[in-house]
Amino acid sequence: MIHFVPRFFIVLTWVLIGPAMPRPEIIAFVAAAFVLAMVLKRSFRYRTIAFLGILAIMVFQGLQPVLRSLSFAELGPHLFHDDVWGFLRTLVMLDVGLTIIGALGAVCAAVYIGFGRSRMSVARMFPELRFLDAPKEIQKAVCNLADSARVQAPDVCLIDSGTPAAFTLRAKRKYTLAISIGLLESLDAKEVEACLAHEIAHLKNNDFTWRFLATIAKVALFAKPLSYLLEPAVYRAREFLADRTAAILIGGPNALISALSKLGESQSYGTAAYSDAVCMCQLSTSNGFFKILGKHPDISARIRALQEMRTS
Amino acid sequence: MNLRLLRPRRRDLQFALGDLEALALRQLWNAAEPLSVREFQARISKTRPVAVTTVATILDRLHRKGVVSRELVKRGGPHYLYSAKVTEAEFKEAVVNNVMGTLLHSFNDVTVAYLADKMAGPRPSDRRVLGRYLKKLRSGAGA
Repeated sequence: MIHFVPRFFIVLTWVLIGPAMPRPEIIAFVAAAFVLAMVLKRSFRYRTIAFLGILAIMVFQGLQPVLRSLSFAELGPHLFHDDVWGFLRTLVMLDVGLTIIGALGAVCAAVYIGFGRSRMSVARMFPELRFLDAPKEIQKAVCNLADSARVQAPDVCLIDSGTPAAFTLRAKRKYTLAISIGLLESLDAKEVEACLAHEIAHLKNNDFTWRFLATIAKVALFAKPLSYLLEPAVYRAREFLADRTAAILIGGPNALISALSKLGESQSYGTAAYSDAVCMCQLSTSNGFFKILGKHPDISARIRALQEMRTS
Repeated sequence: MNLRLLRPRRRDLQFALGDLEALALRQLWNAAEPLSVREFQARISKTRPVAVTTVATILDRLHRKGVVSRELVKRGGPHYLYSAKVTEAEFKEAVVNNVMGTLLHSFNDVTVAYLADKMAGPRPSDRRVLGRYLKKLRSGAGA
């Protein structure tokens, strides 16, 4: 066994570390291509790619000596004998290497989320959707809720879609709350207000920061299995908290409970799942054990939590 | 129309649509005027109790499949009025066209041979349909 395991790790190490050490001429070529793209096309997407690419190359370049000093190749030979200490040392080295790669990835992800994605417009993030101006009543309701939550009121827009959906995201460095026509036509005014309150609660609870930190942590610790449980757990906890805050904002959980139960009924027929947005509810196909990997909690669990709030 | 034929064991509309989608499309064909989601749910719930959110989702799916058309009404809160885009005959023709077209494209000679074979000794019900078709052809030719 011990003969097989180290060999496996050597291969794995090379797969992971190898690409991190590009040759100088390749770096120069890629950098030139990015700069050219930046000069020729002044559109935002190219600038972002160029910025991220150059940053990544700089970081990789700077870390090359570190990666070399790990010298995995030299560790190779003794692994094929029953050298337990060498084996353990390789494991530690591998861990160090993976953490460095994870940290680089986290930097890139942070830059992308902070400078790239959040500056896109909503229409660009969802090219398949059509966005309209929200009706006056909805805008007013959002302003009132934002006032009572003491947060800056987000932009409000209407999604031209019949499927009930509501989400908030950061676009053009502002928060945008989007609500679909399907949600407006299938819920009554109180329930719509509850959905809006849930989204405002996400803003009040700084859930974008929490999501950002959770994502960065996941990328940085990508080699640790625990990180894949941590991120969804954070998301789910924030979702429950947003429900609670929303119930307080609108003075009681009843409207939110009825909105959630209605949305839950149509869930099996497909709820719009918009990635990278804080949604009202998402299609959850997982059950049993795999629930711990889901980013959105069960609707029934959310309703139960709100009902407990009502009785306590 | 953007139909995916995924349910070969089901009959009638359910061959190309989900159960609720088929029910919804039938309702739209029976309705005289365009329906809102709420009106729709009131009608459909007589035969099958479903939430308004479900109806909204189902109609949105039919819209994405290109079977129904909708109009956005701003008055009284933004909502859609749904109406059927195709008639029942057009829908069924599109489904058959889709299946047979695929077969003729992929297995041309086998499909043609199969059809010729079927037509040589049709069942009584098939014979009646063919008779009606021939009659239609003749009257068309006579006019």
